[in-house]
Amino acid sequence: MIEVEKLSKSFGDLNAVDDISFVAKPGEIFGLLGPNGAGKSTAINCISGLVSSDDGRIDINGYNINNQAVKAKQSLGLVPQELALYDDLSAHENLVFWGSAYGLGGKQLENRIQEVLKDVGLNTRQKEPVKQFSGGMKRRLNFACAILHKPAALLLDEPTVGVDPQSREHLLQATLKLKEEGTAVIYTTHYMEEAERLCDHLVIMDQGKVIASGSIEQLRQQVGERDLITLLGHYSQLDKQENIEALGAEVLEYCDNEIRILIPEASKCLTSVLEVANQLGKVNQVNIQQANLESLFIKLTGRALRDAA
Amino acid sequence: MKSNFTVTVLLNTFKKLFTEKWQLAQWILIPVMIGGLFSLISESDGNAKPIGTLLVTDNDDSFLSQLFVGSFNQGPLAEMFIVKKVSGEQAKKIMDKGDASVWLEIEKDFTQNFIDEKPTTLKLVKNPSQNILPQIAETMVGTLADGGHYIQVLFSKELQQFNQLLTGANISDAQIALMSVQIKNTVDSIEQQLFPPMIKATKKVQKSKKKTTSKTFMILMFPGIMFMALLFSSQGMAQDFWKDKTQGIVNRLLSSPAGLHKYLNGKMMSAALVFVFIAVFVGLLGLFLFNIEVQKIFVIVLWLMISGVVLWSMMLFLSLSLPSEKSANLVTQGMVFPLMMLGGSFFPFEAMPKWMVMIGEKLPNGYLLQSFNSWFIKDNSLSVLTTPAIIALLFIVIMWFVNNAKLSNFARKK
Ligand SMILES: Nc1ncnc2c1ncn2[C@@H]1O[C@H](COP(=O)(O)OP(=O)(O)OP(=O)(O)O)[C@@H](O)[C@H]1O
Ligand SMILES: [Mg+2]
Repeated sequence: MIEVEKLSKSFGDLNAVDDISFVAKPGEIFGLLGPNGAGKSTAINCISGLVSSDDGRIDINGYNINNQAVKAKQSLGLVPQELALYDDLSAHENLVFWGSAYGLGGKQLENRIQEVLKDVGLNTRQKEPVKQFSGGMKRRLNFACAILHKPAALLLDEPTVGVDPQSREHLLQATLKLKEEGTAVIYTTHYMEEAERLCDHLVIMDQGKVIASGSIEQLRQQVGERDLITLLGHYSQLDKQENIEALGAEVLEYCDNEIRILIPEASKCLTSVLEVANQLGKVNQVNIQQANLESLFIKLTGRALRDAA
Repeated sequence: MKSNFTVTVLLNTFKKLFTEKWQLAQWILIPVMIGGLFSLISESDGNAKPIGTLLVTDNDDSFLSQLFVGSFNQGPLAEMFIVKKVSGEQAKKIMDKGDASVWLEIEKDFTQNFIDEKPTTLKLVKNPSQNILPQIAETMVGTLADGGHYIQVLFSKELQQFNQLLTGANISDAQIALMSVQIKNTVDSIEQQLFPPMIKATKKVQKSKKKTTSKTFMILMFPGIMFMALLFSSQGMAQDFWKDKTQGIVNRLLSSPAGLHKYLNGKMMSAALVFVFIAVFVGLLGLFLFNIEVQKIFVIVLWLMISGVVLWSMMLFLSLSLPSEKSANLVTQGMVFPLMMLGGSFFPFEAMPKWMVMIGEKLPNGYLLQSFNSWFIKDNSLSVLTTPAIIALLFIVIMWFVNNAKLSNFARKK
């Protein structure tokens, strides 16, 4: 269980995390979603003690992170966004180091090392120095180091960033396994698909603030049973947004090279949409997808998630 | 089973060090090589040609002054310098042309003043365009006092004082050294025994001269070499904190229950072990070269370990205070050289001008080296190390708290 109440952290004038609260329950994967610079890592770092927060209360497994720091940290595993591994040492030696930092040793540690290596699919490469690993393998090892001590709560800060599909699958499977074992997991990402697949509960952050939260279902309902149409091209008449709205669409974005709209049953009204769009300019490319969290983010912020920074 | 994180950090640091074998080798080999080069200069094999000229003007021309000049004519000085006896006028001309390194003038009433307990002057004029040779001449005066030469038997204490006075003199002006009244007392007390055995002693020493001299110089360099190795390695190991930081280790440790102090302890213990390793290595070399007694090696190892941890604590403090890995490396590495120069690792303190010694002895490495030398070279009892040891241990403890406090800020820094 991870409880965060009214957490704030600023760097100078910048409110990196601005009064956020949430609870991640055991056996639940709690998603923290947001574009670059939203404050996800800052929140994670406050929870794990890497950064001291300005305000707010954080409890891990019932232990306060300030008053009962050692017990709180003992219950917590962290997979930081930046790798934290000794390049010169082998995977096994790195695991010994981090296991030992959590008080593990001897046979018990060795058994756990073999278990987690199997979980992340690195057991055949454990004697090799980390510098010979691929990016994805390093990420997997970074993950493995955090779960040796079977933490009750686990923080994953973009664990899959820049990894190949195979490594990604290993990591997602390992995360799901931990969830089944009853771990409370906080998972930050800006991959919507990952969030939709893994998370039971989500918080969407932007510029330090929570802009939406709820279960995947609840959040989907905010965009409704609609489809997202993206029309790439060149548009000149930027004052004529109402022409599109007249078709019964909700305009999420309308600028000189892109129109994004939410509309029920896109396949049926696509021709009329194209007709209107071509009156406004020239359409080069059309993309239709089922409305998802990405659409919600655009709806809430007027920006696409990936390029929101 | 519970594990001790401190021990894990220690083992890890060692593993990393041994995967980068060159670094470890560098810390030891560079100082040993420098030491080797220096002693090569003073090496006394038959082919070595003197490289400088030492002029001696003996205005007194008495027995005592001849004895004195004779001492320059053999031993280490004879191998480095051609000793020429010349008149004052000739000497001035040669010096003006810059054709000699040093000119030593003995005043007319050298012996008389000596015996009358009057101040006696020796003039040492150094060639201002030469740096090293005149300094070596001074060092050699020092080594005469320390070596197995008969002068040392008779005048050891006085020569030391004499030497201190010499080195204390302003170099660029030619300078005057006053001999202490004590010399007279010594001469008085041993006059009877002095004259007959002296000649025998001279011959004896001449036979074994070659060995003694190069060793004498090397043994003077030896402690400095060890401290040079300590400076190199402590700098490198303090910098290790930055390496760990850039790999994300230090930051992530903040989230673990182990605490940064265990990490600090592990690093400190591994540093101490590296210093022991260096000390044993260099100590064995000393055992081999100078027949240092085994008991002494224990003291050497212990002293180098303590000194190393002192230097490491200091380097770490600086390293942690600086804003980036690069600046930390630049500053700490930039400090190693002046610390070596001033702290007696390049030139023995005996060969340094007084102002330099004044600064050098106050530097941590200079202080620890001086203390070490007063036991090792000057053969004082081990108790001379008590106060420095207490100071060093106090320094280590205080710096531990300071560095521990700095470490958590360091870990949080971007
Ligand atoms: N140590 C720091 N000093 C100053 N500013 C910081 C620091 N750490 C983070 N920030 C700023 O706080 C904001 C939030 O950063 P944070 O790393 O939490 O974002 P994020 O949501 O994790 O982004 P990303 O998806 O890129 O990882 C950014 O504007 C960042 O520049
Ligand atoms: Mg981040």
